[in-house]
Amino acid sequence: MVRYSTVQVARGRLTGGGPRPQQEQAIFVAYSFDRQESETFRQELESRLRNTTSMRRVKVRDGHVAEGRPWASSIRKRLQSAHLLVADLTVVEPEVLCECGFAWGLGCPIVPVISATRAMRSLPEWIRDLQIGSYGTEAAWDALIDSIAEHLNARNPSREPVPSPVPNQVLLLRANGGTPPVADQLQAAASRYGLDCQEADVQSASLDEDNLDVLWQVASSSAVVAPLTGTQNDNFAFFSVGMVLARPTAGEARSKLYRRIILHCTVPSVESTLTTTFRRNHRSIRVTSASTILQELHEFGRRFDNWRMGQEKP
Amino acid sequence: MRLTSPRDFDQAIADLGSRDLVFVGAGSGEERSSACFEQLVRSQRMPRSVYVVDYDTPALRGKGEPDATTEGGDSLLWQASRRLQELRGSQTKQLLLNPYASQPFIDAVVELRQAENGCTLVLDYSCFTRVHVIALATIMAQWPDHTPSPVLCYTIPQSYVIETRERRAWRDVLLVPIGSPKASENEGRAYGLVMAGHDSDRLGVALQEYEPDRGIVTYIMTKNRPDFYRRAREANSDIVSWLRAIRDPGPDTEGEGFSWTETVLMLEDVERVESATRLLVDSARQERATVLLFPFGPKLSALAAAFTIARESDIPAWGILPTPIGVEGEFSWGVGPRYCVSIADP
Repeated sequence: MVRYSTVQVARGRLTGGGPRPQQEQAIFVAYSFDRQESETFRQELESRLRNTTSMRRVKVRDGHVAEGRPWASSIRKRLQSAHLLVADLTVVEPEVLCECGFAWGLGCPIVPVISATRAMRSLPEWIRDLQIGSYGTEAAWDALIDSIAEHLNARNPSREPVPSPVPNQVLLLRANGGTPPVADQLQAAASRYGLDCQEADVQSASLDEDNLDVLWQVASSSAVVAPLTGTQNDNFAFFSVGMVLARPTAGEARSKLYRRIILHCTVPSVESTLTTTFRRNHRSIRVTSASTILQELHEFGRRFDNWRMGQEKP
Repeated sequence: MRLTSPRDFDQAIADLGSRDLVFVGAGSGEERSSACFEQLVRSQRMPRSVYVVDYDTPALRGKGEPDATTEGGDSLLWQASRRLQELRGSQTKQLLLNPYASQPFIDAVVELRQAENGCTLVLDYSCFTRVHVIALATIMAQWPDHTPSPVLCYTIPQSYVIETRERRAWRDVLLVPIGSPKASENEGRAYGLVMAGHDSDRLGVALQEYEPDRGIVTYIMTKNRPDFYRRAREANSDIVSWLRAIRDPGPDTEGEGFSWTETVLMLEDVERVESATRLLVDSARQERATVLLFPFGPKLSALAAAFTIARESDIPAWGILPTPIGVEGEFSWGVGPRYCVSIADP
């Protein structure tokens, strides 16, 4: 399913695009469930789209998942069928950034918005590479609705197709120019399993089409080690989590290698601030400290080995 | 004459010492098309001249970049070579060629070899069409002794995208001569060498046109990327099972029947590709049969097989290559390992 979406995007690129198929269009709204202002924004957006003739039939979806259902796969399905993600980043929350990363990883365009009262410079720098919309005034709403219409009517994919994850590629993200405390050991462990280990600086991350190197590195890596420092840099780690969850497997054949993002808490207090989404260890996300980071990479290396030998369970 | 074992690109280039280099590669939107060239420049081994093979067809010109309207002008190799031109004043020349014609490619390479007399040619065939990979094997098999051995580079991509959905029909099925063209003496018998790739449609179409009664299906295993091999297996399993079943000699034929076998070879093990090909060629020779190569796997292995066949001057041999209408079927992204081979005395 994930692979299919890549082919679709690349096909558009190769053939110069074409008219959108006659299907229902959908947008996904990523917003903070805990904030009244954000909740109101989501309802107001849907209502304004209903009142716009050309977008009356556009489906509006969000990340609310019924209790008892797997949230990652449910959101993945919604985002896979969405033509656009509108994200309320008035307060930058990990879940919203994760959904943004999810959409970006699937090749879905993102429209970040903030309330009219919020200062744009409070947003992470790499997000500000995209034009930020706003809401709260009539003029701002009109501009936002126009932007959504423009995205939905675009004939060509708005950006390069996202690279597929490469099974033997590992990425160590650096924050504030620093490297993980055991970077050398991580490199050595990676090479022991035949993994190609690269490094990238979070500060260089950008959503600018001409400067996507770091995002492409995240997209094409099977294992990403991202630091959580309790600073604004963590936002990129949350975005990266979304990218990994969007395309959770790597490899060209049916037997896939499950990707993994290792969130490495450099400050012990950071772990306790994480929401359940990120704190709970599962197949794709691991939260670790300095003492266990190497162990986590070894575990991924063993899984890579099993996959390479054809022993990975589908 | 034989192909040397594949070596890491950097090592192979370092071993060339201070020799004058001439770089030849294809203009393409694929990242790997300029990877070897850029590595060459990074390691301060500036080629004296650069030749960019531009394919004279809208489907292939600037593949992957539909906005590229100038001839070859926007491909990654052109961009990289222009940077070098600005830096060092080295010359970039265009070879505008028909992607599906073998002889013009051979003529162009022979001509530039004469023009750049004394220089070592570095030929990056990663983004050459398969017709030209076979033509390259023919050139290598006839490489003159007194000329410096060329370096043949190949970059594995990180991922392939097969554009089967755009392919509504096939333009043609080409028969490309391997080595000097020779008439078949025994038209009723042919040996096939299938290099299985990810695109089984192409093999299916090729076999509909020419189905040898016996042969070898080879799958190529790439170090650290078993998924490439597995995908080739998955993609071709139906067609290969059918081929083997329909040509099964049965239990009572005492080896007289027809049959197909399967084998797995490592990409880096060019010698095994050569020996498997040689065995097939020897069997064909005994029966005066034709050898048909279906070169759909990695181009390094396809080159090695075609080169081995091309050296056998007495065997009629053809590469079978269906060409689609519209978009060329292969596109890749990313840059994986880079390999270099050359030719040497046995």
